[in-house]
Amino acid sequence: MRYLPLTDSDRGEMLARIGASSIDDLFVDVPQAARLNGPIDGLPMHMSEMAVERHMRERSKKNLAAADAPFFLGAGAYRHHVPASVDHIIQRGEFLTAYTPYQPEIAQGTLQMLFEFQTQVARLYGCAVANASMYDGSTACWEAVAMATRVTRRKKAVISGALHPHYTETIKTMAKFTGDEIADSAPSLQPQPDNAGLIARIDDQTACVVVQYPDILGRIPDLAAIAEAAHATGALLVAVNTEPVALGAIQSPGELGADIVVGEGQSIGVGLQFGGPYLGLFAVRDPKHVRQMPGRLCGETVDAEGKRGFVLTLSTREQHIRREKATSNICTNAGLCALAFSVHMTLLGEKGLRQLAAENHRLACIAADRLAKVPGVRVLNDTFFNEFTLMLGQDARQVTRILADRGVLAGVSLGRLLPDFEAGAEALLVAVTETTSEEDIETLASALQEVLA
Amino acid sequence: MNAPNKSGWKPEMNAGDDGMHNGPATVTGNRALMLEEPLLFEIGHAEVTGVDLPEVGQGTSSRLGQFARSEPIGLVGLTEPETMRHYTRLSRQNYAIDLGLFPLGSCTMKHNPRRTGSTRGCA
Repeated sequence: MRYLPLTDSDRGEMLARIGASSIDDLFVDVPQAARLNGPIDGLPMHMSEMAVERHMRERSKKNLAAADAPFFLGAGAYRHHVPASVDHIIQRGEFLTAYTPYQPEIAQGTLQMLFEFQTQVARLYGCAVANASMYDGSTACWEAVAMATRVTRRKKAVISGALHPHYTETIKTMAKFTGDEIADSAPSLQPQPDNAGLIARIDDQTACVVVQYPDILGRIPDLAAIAEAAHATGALLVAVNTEPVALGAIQSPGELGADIVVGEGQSIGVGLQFGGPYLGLFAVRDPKHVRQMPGRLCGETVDAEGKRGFVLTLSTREQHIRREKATSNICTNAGLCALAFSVHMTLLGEKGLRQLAAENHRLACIAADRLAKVPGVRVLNDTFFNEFTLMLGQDARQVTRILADRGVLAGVSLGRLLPDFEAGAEALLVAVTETTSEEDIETLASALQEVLA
Repeated sequence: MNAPNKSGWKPEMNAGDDGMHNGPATVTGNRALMLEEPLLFEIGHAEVTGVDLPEVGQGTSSRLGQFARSEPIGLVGLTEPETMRHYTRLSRQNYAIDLGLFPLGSCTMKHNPRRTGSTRGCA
């Protein structure tokens, strides 16, 4: 076996030392009937690396990869170019095979990286404090709701109809076990988000309002107005962002008054990766809420010689204390994805992120203008960043299926996310990034025109 | 600025002979292969980037409405070689399975064949 370091003579020596004649002697206490004799039924024997590579290559041919087709899928996972140096750094064994940083003496690399990551996320979100990451955007979103119920001592969360349906599902699943009341609704299919309708649903029992920015249809909600209304009743505003690149072009949720800002970090550094692992981001605007935050925080300190060092800090909030007192029981994070995010964000910097955002928006505007000229197609949005909604006049699920058969990945149909929402059946979410060429846009427009005719 | 050997320490002297706790100061802060690495936000700049992207065009159409950003975000960037150096130096401050035994962690310390890491991106 390629990964077992002991030779037969090592084993013989060890057995002789402890006075056992064979390895089976070590298992005499396990009843004969309970022992596994031979291979596990139905599980094939291991294959060599070369054979595994061949097998996986064959399997992968059954997928149409994002890079091999005009690609317009988004809805919470975005295709962006990831610089080669990101992968190079995260594959370094000192990061890849380090244990979780419980011993700061031997984990200063990971801890300093997390400290820098937290600063990047806090600045991006316009917040005072960010944590060391969560599993993904949807679970970070639930943790924000749970934190709001702790801060306000209220049990009701008002969820915008234009929150990503998978995030809403995650919140509802968790709330089944906490008893919190989750008030959601169907999305309104208007050119602008229904800010007024959402504000009208806030009352004095509301712990938080959860709003996606930009929303699932790509529209940009008026967070400042919603924050003001939420604060007037003592509720918190939870802003959810699924496309961090957008924050290079639009104001940050924290600047607009959001109390807790959460989101998916996959766009920066992580890649699509067949759906995971992804990266949850979590930040609070006001430092007074720091002890109610879930997850880990990395902080700066000094060692015995007065030199700067980094440690996991304020851990009385988390799993080291009694379970019912902990702010969350998420005790690990998405460390390697956080590293990928941080390296990519370091390569981008302020200048690169602004340029990246501008390029995404420029191409999205070109795509929206071109697709609006296809007969029967209407662009729903008044505002958008790099994703917008087309109304096709036909069932968008069928149209995307036909286009996929033609090798064009046209977008995510709203019906795929919300199968029971009949009014949204003709809505198609189209995402455009810096990886989209103008030729791709033309290919989509002409294929869509043929299919809709 | 600092003289190269401000304390006058010489190799034949013992560490701490100059009254410092841990031997002489060095110009870079490094001691042989023990590296001191500043924070990203101490060495990066808002106008530095390590990627090639088009300059932001003026007067292009916008659908951002009233939400367009006007204030800086507060991020900093490094060039590609500076980025590689920063993170490679940080990596050397970690202990890891690839450096030796780690008898901890029922949850994470399994053997993972290196191939699994690259197969995840199999196109």
